[in-house]
Amino acid sequence: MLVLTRREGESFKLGDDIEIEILDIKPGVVRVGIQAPRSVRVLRSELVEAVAANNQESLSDEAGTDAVAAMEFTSNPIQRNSRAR
Amino acid sequence: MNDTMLNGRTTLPVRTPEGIPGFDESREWALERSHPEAVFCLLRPQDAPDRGILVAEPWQLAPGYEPDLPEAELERISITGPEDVELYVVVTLTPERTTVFLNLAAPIVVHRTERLARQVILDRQGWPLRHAVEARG
Repeated sequence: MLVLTRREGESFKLGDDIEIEILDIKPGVVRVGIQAPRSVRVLRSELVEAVAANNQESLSDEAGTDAVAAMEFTSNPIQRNSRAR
Repeated sequence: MNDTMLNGRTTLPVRTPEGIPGFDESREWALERSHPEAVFCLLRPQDAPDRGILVAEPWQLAPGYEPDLPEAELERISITGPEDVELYVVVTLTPERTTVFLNLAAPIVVHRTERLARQVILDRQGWPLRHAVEARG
């Protein structure tokens, strides 16, 4: 891993069209500004890891049998009283 | 049609050019539905058919779910309009099957005709990763 030391207000470039700026440094927290083309996705790593873990849990050994059985549900097995959000 | 049908069971091909988190090596999948009215479908990687992801179309299970799918994400699988979009959410069941969890934070978007898919992670939209829905007793 490349390690760079930067001060508050300093920045660096990733390739030609991505710029990362250190906006603010406080004990334990750094605020980072990112300038990148729209096509570059910026996601917090722990969010991607949580999605990956959830995907793998979907048909884990423990729930697997039930999950396959659940495929047989023909009608909505779920109460409709819970709205998303 | 490129789907196959056997005893009411349908299998549609799905391709994920950039993988799916947690299944990063898998590119070719089969979307299996046991019968046309089934609520849940199984997304099964061709390279690891003993694994898979349980998914569902969210509209019935999570009324009010209105994800904002960024255009840049949709373009990656050649989606140009709403008519191209087929949307699924990842389902996790508890072993007792009393509660169903829907991942509303990262729906799987499929191009209806091209069969290209990707999981779109919706950051800062407030949709939960585990939206609990109680199963009917």
